[in-house]
Amino acid sequence: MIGARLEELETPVLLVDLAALEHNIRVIARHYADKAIRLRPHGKNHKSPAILAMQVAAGGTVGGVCAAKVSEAEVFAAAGAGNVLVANQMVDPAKIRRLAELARRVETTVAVDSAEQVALLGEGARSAGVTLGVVIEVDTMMGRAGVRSPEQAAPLARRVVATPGLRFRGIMSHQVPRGPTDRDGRFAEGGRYIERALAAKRAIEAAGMPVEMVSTGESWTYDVAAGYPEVTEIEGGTYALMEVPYAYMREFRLALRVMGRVVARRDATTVIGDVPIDAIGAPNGLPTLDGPRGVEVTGIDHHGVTLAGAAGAPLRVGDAFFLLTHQQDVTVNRWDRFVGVRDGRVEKVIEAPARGCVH
Amino acid sequence: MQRPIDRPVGARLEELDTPALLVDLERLDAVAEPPEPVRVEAWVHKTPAIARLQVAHPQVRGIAVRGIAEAEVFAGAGFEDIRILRPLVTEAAKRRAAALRRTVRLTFDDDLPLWGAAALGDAVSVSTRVTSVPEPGRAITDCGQKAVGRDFGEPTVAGHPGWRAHAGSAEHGVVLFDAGARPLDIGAWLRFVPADVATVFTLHDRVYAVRDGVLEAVWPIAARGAF
Repeated sequence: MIGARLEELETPVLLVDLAALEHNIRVIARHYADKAIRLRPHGKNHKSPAILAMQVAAGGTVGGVCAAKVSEAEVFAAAGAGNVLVANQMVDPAKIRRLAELARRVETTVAVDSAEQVALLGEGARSAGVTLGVVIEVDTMMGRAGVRSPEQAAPLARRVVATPGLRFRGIMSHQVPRGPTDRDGRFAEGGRYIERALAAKRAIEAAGMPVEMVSTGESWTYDVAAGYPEVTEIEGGTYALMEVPYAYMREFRLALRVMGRVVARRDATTVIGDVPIDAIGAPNGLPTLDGPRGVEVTGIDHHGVTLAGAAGAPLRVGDAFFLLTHQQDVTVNRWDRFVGVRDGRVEKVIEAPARGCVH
Repeated sequence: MQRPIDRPVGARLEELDTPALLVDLERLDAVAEPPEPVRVEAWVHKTPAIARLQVAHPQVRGIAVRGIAEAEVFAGAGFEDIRILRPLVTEAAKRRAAALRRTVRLTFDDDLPLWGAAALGDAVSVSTRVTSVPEPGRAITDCGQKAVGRDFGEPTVAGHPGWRAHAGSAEHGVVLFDAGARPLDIGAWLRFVPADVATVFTLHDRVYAVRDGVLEAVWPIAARGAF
């Protein structure tokens, strides 16, 4: 396959544009080159230790990884990630044993938002004879896990500090701007979320506990967060491969495509392509066709994608087409590997061994 | 690939590492047989062990898959009568089909009606555990859309019509319950029923076959990812 031209590939196939991926990785690495803030690449977005290695090599990172699940963290740690933040809550004693095993091999930090989790983690760490790093998760806009106020954060931090086997490190907050897409609007909205997180950090410090780690992010506030010296790192994932809804972040390029082929013509204006919905995922609307002009995606199901345009649509049976995803981590999670392309040819295959790590 | 904590056959359902894709064998057995001869759509579950149970039905004549890659997986698992639903347009795919024809009865078109997701009845669900209860009326679980899917809508909570599930996040499920409802505690175990059964078999590497709440077999989803 290496050296093959795109049109020779069997379809459907998950493609990564290597020049775009390298460009995206450079954007944050350069932005952070002269700053104290660091990027913690999120492994859930690419599932690939090879891409994590590219991010770390580019500079400006914590030298480790963020993971959504302990099984995902294990894949990256086994491949050499220097430290791990599992940005999630662990409550199953068997899973906590696994987290403690991971902490034997690599510095491991996990998030909590309640006293029950603190007690369970403490028991697990002590019985394994390890120390687990702990951050308080602060909800600032997602409505998901996380303490709801600075007043909740300080007592929980005190409980972590008092629990043998645990080392209190600071706070984390996952944040995704949903409002205006212009720079000023994004800075205003992102700044509000960061301020909410910092209010929790300051409450903990005011209660007498030092805070060494303030982890915010997703990618979309990488530059906003750099203006807040108290933020030590951002969890950034989507920027590397990108997705259509964030294309307004013009400094990044869309690097991910699913290539398909037309397999049938339905009528004068409509053709059917061989990309089923489970090969790309469409939780946030239909995928976007990356050309040709005048043709668009009008439907997708388990048997394929429907492309329609004006009469005499330029796509013929056998022609290749390219789809852009609206949620890149959902797309990546359905494939075992990426085919890396440059200048229309396959340069390398990038394995994604953390695909499917939902445990 | 997925790396759940392994549990031996005979383990109780609630002991399986969450989220786990479950198929309830009693419910699968209870699915009414089709009234006429059919071809079963094995691409829905992508699992040879489930297809073997299905082709044992007297009315089932062979299986249907979507493309050449799925056909190769099922042929490799011993299935001998396979219909491919999608036209093959590349020379490479046609060569692969010609190779399969040496050992398999391969067709692209026949008159047999297809038996699809209905062949699984209501046997499929995904187990999950509450990891956080950050505010009254809201529980966060370890099953988001990467484990239950949301391409065809939100999952429901098995056995609890008053609890509303959301899998809008990739890694987290959210369960909302009314103020009067019994609250969920951290560690609580529940099951999500996916809005679309075919999606969920793309998200997992194995399916846990359970009967009477006990693990009976672990089956690889061998054609997962064979798009």
